[in-house]
Amino acid sequence: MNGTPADIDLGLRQAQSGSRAAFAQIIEAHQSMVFSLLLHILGEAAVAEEIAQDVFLELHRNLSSIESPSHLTRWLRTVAGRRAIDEVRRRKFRSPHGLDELPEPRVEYDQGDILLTQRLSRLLARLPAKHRAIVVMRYQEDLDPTDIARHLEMPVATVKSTLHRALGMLRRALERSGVREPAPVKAMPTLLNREAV
Amino acid sequence: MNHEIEQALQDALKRKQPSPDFAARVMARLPETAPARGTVIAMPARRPWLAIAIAATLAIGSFAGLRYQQYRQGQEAKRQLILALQITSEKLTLAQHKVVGISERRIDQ
Repeated sequence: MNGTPADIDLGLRQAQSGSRAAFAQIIEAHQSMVFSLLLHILGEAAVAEEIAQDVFLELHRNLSSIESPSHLTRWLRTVAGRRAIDEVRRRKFRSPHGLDELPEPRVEYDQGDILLTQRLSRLLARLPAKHRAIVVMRYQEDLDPTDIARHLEMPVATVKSTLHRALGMLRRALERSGVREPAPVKAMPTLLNREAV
Repeated sequence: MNHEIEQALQDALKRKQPSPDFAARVMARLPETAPARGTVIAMPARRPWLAIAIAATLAIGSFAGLRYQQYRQGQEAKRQLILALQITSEKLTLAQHKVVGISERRIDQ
């Protein structure tokens, strides 16, 4: 499915006409996005792969309704996001303890960014499903709140406030665990300041 | 701190690949036939006159069927009304005969 937009569009049309090879190319082009969305929201690779397969099977059943390659990407993100939230709620993936109650081992920030990243991955898994989905769409897919709101069918204001709350929860949990404010970083405006509020 | 969190989130949430045979496993679960809806929808787009003709035929057929059903219902209602009137008439005739018979017996006595 790599190539010019015209090639991609042609591949989509061929898949809609019944070409299995073209559909396989669609899967290969989008599997990373769909799998990662599910993995980051659900936290389990096996479950994420299983649901990602279901998402592509659902795509195959609804292929005729896809109007363009960009519509295809949006469709996959939306379905994957909703399926992930439903699955989290169904399986009660969320820890019975809230993010704020769980004690965290103290880690010094200067042990490196990798630790911070690992810590965030674990903390992320404890956020409520909706918060997690919004954070994943924001930072994995680099979507702005308007796009996230469209994908998850919720008001933009809700997306902004939820994102703000989720980042606040993560920041407090990191502070509680002893991650210290590092030395001043490059003068790059934070995404949070631009979006939240 | 927010900036570091956001940077770390971007690192933590980088896209990852599923297992290498992922696409093959999805393909193995696909039905053998092509998605039917695509073919059905594609045909009228290429031949709009055919879609219009089919739609018109269906509309006319539906209207004619509805009218015929209404006609049949009307006929059935008419038949039932006539039957009810016939029964009523017979009952009234019978009652009349009985009344006349009783009157004649009284006069004879």
